[in-house]
Amino acid sequence: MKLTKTLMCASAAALMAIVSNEAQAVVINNSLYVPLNFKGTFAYVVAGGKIKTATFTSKQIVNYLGANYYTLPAGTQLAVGPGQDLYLVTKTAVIADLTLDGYASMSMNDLIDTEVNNSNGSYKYLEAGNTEFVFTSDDAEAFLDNEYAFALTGTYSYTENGSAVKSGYYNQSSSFNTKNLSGEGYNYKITESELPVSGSASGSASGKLPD
Amino acid sequence: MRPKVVIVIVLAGLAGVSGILLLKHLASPPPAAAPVAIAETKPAAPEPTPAVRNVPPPAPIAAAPVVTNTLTEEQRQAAIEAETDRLQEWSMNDDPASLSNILADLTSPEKEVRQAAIDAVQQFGSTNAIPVLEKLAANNADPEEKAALLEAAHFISLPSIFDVGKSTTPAEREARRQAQMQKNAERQAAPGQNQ
Repeated sequence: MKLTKTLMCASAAALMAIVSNEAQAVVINNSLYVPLNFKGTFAYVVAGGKIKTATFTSKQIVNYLGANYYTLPAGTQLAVGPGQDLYLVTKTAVIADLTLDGYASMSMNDLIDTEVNNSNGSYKYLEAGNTEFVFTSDDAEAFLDNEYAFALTGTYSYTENGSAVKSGYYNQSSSFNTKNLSGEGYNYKITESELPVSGSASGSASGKLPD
Repeated sequence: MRPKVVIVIVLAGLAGVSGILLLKHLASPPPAAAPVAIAETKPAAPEPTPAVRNVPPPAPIAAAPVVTNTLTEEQRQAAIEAETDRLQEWSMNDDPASLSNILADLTSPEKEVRQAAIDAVQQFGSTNAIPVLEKLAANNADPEEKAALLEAAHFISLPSIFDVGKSTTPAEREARRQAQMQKNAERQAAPGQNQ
């Protein structure tokens, strides 16, 4: 449990700890990967003085990357993994580290947290802070040099519950949620300027961990 | 003649006993219903509208953890998490069976599963789900869930950012990529001058 508390401390190692405690996640080479539900909307102007919206989801991003850069098996998912990087993973293999390849990244900045430890050894940990998601379809530093890009920030909440330790192990459940992401995006097929973007992301998992 | 009479009497007796047993069986109440199992005994999918009649029934789920009324809170939670995990997997597929499974979970007795199903149906991205979402919203007394269902229906109805805007040919895309690669090369050759 102390390990968990330490992990929650806003560093890259902290998120890694969150991730490594997610049992629903894909386990590959003793590292855990947490599938992300990520979605958002771009707003843009169309002829006739109207504003319309178009969507993106983590599934669409996976499909785009599969069509352009990677050979993806069926069931490939976008996931958070070691080093707080975003990955493409299947149930059994890591296909790509999108952060290393320059296509996507995520960060969490823990601003407040609290933990209640019960006499029976169980605990509840809560955390909130700022998070950022970035996607650049062409790994280009300049936003407008990509075909598609967005950078979204917002507040997130993280909840973790842990059971008492039994035989050297304890059960932990974790959930991450951010509903108010906003920022800028770019779509080369719509306009050569930046567009307003909003979005949300969530992921949850639980599992049995060594004390 | 006497043995034949005896055989007839015995057969008649057996027939009578069989008839009594059969009547007793029919009159007895049915066995108690099996405990509720949200993972194995999925709730019936909403009645399909004409637009979604081609969506097949949910596929059977193998090795799903059973959640009964007698399970502990911990076991119940584990089953919910297992189902949300499956929803995540189904959401990444494109087959009608996966969509059907997701739609079935929209009426799960567990709120967490229903919420995960709303997330999954948006990831799945099929407009076939829209009538189901709207129908469930119309019959939902929870204003928060009603709004989430309608919001999901609206989200699915919108085009993808990857599909809107001017169409480009593969040659145009390749030219753009070459130009972008050239910019990257120039940037790397002169770091700090093109930030």
